Amino acid sequence: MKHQLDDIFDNCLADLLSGKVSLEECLARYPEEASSLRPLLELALQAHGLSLPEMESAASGAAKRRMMAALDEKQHRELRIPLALRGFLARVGASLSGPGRRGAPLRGTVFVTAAIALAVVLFTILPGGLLEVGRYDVVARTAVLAGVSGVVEVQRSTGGDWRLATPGIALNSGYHVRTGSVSSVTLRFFDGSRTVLSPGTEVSLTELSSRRDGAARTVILNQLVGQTDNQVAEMVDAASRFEIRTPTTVAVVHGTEFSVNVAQDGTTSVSVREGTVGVTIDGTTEVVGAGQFASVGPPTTAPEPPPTATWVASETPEELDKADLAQIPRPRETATSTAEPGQPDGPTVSAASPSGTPQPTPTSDEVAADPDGPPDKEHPEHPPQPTHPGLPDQAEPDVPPGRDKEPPWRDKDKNK
Amino acid sequence: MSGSTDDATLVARAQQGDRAAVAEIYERHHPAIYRYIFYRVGDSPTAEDLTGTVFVRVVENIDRFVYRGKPLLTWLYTIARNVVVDHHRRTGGAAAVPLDERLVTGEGDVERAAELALTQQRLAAALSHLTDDQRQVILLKFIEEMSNEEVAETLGKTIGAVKSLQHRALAALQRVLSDGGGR
Repeated sequence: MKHQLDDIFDNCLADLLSGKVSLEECLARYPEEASSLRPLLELALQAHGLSLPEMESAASGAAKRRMMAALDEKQHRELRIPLALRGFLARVGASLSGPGRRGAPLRGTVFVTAAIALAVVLFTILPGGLLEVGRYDVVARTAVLAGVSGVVEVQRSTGGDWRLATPGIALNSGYHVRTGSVSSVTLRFFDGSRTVLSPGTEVSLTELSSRRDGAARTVILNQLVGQTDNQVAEMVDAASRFEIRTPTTVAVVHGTEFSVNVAQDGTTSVSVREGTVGVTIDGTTEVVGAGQFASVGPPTTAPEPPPTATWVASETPEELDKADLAQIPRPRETATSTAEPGQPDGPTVSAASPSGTPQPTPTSDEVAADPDGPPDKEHPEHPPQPTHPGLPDQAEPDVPPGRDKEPPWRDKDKNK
Repeated sequence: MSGSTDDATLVARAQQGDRAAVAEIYERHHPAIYRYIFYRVGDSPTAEDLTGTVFVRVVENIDRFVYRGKPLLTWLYTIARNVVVDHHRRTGGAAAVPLDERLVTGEGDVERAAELALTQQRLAAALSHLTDDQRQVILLKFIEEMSNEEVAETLGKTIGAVKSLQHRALAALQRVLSDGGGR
C-alpha cells in the first residue's frame, strides 16, 4: 500500500512537472488520496519553481584559483623524488644497455641489485627520514577573506596600492586589510581561528605560519585602528600562538574570544568574553580574564600615526541615511577612561559590562558632522583608487572586484 | 558520450595531472556543489568559501578516487557533506540562515529579489531539519531537476527507494514549514 502511494505520488509529480496535467486533473485521478497528495504536490511545485542560488563570478573565480593552486602545489610535491629516481634509473638503464656492457652479465646483475637497493632506500627509508627532517620546517600559511560586506580593500604590502577584495581570496603574511565605515569582513585563518573586522578597521597580517607537521601555529596581526572580534581556535601545542599587536599593546591569547579596539589616537581596549588574554605593554603583562577588559592610553612618545584609510564615498549605500549611520559603531576616539592615575603605561584591567565588550559609541556630533568619514582619515600615501585592477598572483580577482549588480539568484527558466 | 563514460575519462585525465580536466570538473560541478552547500549553511559567502574548500580536497584526493561507474558528482557530494560537517563543528552550530546581505546591492527588482531570497532562506532553513538523504533527494529532484534514475544513481539507491524517499522528504518538509521551522 505504501509503495502504491509512493508510485501514485511519483506519477502525479512526473506528469505535473512535465506539464502534462494540472494539479486538479491529477488529483481527480486519485480521489481517495487527493487530500494527502495535494499539500505535498503543491510543495513540490513550489520547490521546483524556485530560482537557483548561484555563486558570484568573482567568488567562483577565486575558488577555482584556490583549486588550481592546490594542484600546482601537489604536482610540485610529487615531482621532487620521482625526478631524482628517474634520473638514476636512466643512468642505470644506460649502463646496462650501453654497447660496451652487453658482454658483462655479472656487472649487469650488480647494477640491477644496486638499483633495487637504492629504490628501497628511496621509497621506504628516505621518505620517512625526509618527512622527519621536513616536519620542523616553518611554512607560510594563509587567511581567507569571507563574509565580505560593503567595501573591503587589501594591500599587498605597506605602501602598495589598495584593491577591492573579493570573498574567498587567500592572503599571505604582509597583506593589509581594511574595511570601510559601513563595511566588515571576516578573516578565516588556516588554523580555524576567525577575526571579524568591524567598520573602519585596518589590520596587517604580520605572520601566518606553522610547522610543516601542523604544529606551532602562529597568527600575528597588527591592528592599526578599529575593532576586531576574535574567535581563536584551540591551541594545538605550547608553541602555537595568536597575537594581536596594536600601537601600544600586544594581546596574546590563552583563551578563545576577545575584542580589540584601537582608537585613532592609539588608545587600545581589549575585552575578553571567554578564556584569558595576556596584555603586554613595555614588557609588563596583565592577564585579562573573561568578563574583564584592559584599556591602555595612547603612546607617550609620538608614534607613527596609524595609517588610516580613505573610504570612497560610494561605499555608503544610498539607502542609508544619517539615522542609519548613527547606529554604526565607530572607533573610540578618547583616551581610556579606566587608566588609573600614576599608571599611565600599564594596562588597566576592569570588570566589563554584561556584554563584555566596551563598544565604541559615537557621539551625535561625530556622526552628524561627518557621516562619510572625516577628511583627515585620508591616508597621505594612499589616495583613493579610482579603479581597482586585479591583484597579482594567486590572490588576484579575475574580474574587476566589487558587487555583482544582479542578485545571486538564477532564474531556472531563464537557463533552461 | 554518456555521462558516466565522460566522468570516467575526466577522472582518469585528472588523475594523471591534466590541468584542463581538473578545471573541467570544477566548471561542470561547482554550481551544484555550491547549491548543495548553500542549502546546508544558508549564507552565500560561507557557501562560496566552502565550495572552494571542496575542490581543493578534490585535487588532493583525486588519486585515491576509484571510479566504479557512479557519477563523479556522488563523490563530490560526499566531500561537500564532510566539509559542511567540519564547518559546523568548527563554528559550533548548525546552519545559520541569515538574509543574504548581497541582495541589497541589486539594482534590478529589489523587492522581487528579496522575496525570492526569503523563500530561499525559508526553504534552506526548513531543509536543515531533514535527514541527509531526505535533503539530498529534494535538492537533486527539485533544485537540480534530476530524474528518478539519475537521483538513484547519484545516491546509490534503487528507483523504488528514491520514490519512497522523495515522498517522505516532502512530507517532512511540509511538517517543518507548517511548524514554522523555515522561519
